[in-house]
Amino acid sequence: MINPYWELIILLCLINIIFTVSLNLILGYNGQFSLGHAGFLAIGCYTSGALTANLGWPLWAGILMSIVMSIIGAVIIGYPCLRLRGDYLAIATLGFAEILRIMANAIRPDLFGGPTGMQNVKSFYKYIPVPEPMNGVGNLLFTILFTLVFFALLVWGIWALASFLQRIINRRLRWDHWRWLICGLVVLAVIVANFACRGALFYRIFGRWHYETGSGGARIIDKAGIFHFFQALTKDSFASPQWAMFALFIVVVAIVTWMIRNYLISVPGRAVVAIREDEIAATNLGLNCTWMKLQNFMFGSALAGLAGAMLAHTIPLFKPMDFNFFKSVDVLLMVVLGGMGSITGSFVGATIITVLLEALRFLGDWRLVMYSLILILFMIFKPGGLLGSAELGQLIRRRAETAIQRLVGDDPSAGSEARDA
Amino acid sequence: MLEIADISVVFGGLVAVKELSFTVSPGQIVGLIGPNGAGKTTVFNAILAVYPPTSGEVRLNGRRIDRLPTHRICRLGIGRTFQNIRLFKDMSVLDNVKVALHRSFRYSLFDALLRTPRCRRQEREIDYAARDILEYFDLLSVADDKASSLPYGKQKYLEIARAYATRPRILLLDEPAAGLNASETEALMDKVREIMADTHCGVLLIEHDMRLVMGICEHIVAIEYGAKISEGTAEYIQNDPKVIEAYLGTQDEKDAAVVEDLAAVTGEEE
Repeated sequence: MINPYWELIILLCLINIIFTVSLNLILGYNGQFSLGHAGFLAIGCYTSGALTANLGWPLWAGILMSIVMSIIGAVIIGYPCLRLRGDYLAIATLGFAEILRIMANAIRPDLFGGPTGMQNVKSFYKYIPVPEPMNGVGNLLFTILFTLVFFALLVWGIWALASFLQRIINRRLRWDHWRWLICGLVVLAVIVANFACRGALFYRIFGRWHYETGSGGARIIDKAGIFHFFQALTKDSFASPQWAMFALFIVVVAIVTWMIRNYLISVPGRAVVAIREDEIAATNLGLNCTWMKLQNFMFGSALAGLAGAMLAHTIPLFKPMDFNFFKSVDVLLMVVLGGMGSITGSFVGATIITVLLEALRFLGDWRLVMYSLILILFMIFKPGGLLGSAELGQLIRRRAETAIQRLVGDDPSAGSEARDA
Repeated sequence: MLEIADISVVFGGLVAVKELSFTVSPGQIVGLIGPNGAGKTTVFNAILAVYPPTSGEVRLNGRRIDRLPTHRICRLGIGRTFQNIRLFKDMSVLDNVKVALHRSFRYSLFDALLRTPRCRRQEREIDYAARDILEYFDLLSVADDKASSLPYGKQKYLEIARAYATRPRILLLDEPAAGLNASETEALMDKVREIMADTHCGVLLIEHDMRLVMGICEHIVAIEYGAKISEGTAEYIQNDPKVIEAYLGTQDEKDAAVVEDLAAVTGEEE
């Protein structure tokens, strides 16, 4: 079982993935700059929240309506702006999001909660009927899954950092094995740090599992860790349908990803990318660019609305200030960091930024400085984002091919290429 | 048949095209020539209503098209290539052609999102059709390469292939031979002739290479400052004093220029 704080972060990651992908469709694949994407998140959040909590609609209807309302919003804002070329959409969506936020502040506090926001929206937990015997196994499986993902990201992060440093150091001192040295130093530093604070790093991740034997049987006392493997087999875990939440969210993300992939390899998706590449040429092939852009914008906004609806039923409360300009910048950062025009890039970007924002919470308002710092560093060193416009699978395959070639040793240029990459 | 009747294009006070009329019939190559800045590309843009003509009419097979939006005009059967190549650079060669094939296949957005059998079947047909077209233009071997990675000559072919994929009745080619050497130009023109023979489309060609224009075009329209100065067969155009004047200037102007140059030179020396 994963502790509730990190559970929320993982769920937020998954929501942010949908949100990021929705912006990536508009920004990365179609080249249209939407600077107020938080507005569509707000539409989804408030529609589903108000309908289910205050008007007694069923959950599915609330989610459906939030998608419909986002599409309506997209048409209202997109139709006039997408007829033009240029950055009009950015300005209009920026204003649109602010108008929505202020409306949520002012209109019908009985329905939308006013400035204090909505706290009475029922969580997904309340809707999920769960067969209890499944809980323990389900929670354990998801704990293992997320631990693997966590460590994969950690290893990859350290490796990427080391490779990056190697490139910088190698400008002066050429040596092929800097990155191994750096990786080793980082691992060593973690081990030393773990010893220095008497294993606290380890506990922070896996939790402390010494037992308290009392009337209720064996219990775990310390719940500070992220992944509570051992708790997965306790009574707490059997009572919690946490795995069902994860399963639900992952299934939604998978369906969304599948649909986007289908979209991109069919006529409308190709048209949208063609419009990004050259709108005049696309028009001259008989494509109705305005409609294609609008359709794409509607699709992207619908996904943002879906993300909003999921958010409404995940976090305990939301208020208008949650959907201010910085939320739009957040998601922009996720898209740019992951790579514009890469769906798996959006996955990585959304995960990194969401986790980073939590990890940097101790910085307070200085987090905003971190945003700009990250963005500036990326603009300088990796303007295409982490993955560029490639998908993760392609990159891994390419890396594997060069590695195999290097092992076989038939192509000396492949080796040097991999070293420089 | 593309009929251009008395079209004018005016930007503010500048008359870019002035009461120009000519026709392009199916199976005919019409050359549009004129000195730099004469308004040749503007004529193309006026035909496709990128800049809608200020006055006059453009008709395709008797139907007036100059008030339609550009994409509708293209759907009615006018294909176009650009002076400076406008490929979808980050897309593969195959996808470049596939984009142009959007019209002959119909499925809804929901078919696309859910990848229904109908969508899958049509996508397969699009794939076959696109590969056929690439084969026709000798580009099949580079189908999966990025469009921007192609050599210049092949990019030209790809652009024509893309226009060809929209099944045009009239093909507008804007300086297709620019930047190509003599043998490449010849191959390209053979290809254009082949396309015409296969599809019986009309071609309107802007070109600076006079040898090429005179060799391939049955009918030539010469314009200067947006106005037609001469029209006819290649021999007629070649011997028309007005055309010669437009390209080389009159004897008087030449004399005047020489005098001016001399004056400038002597002025500097003093």
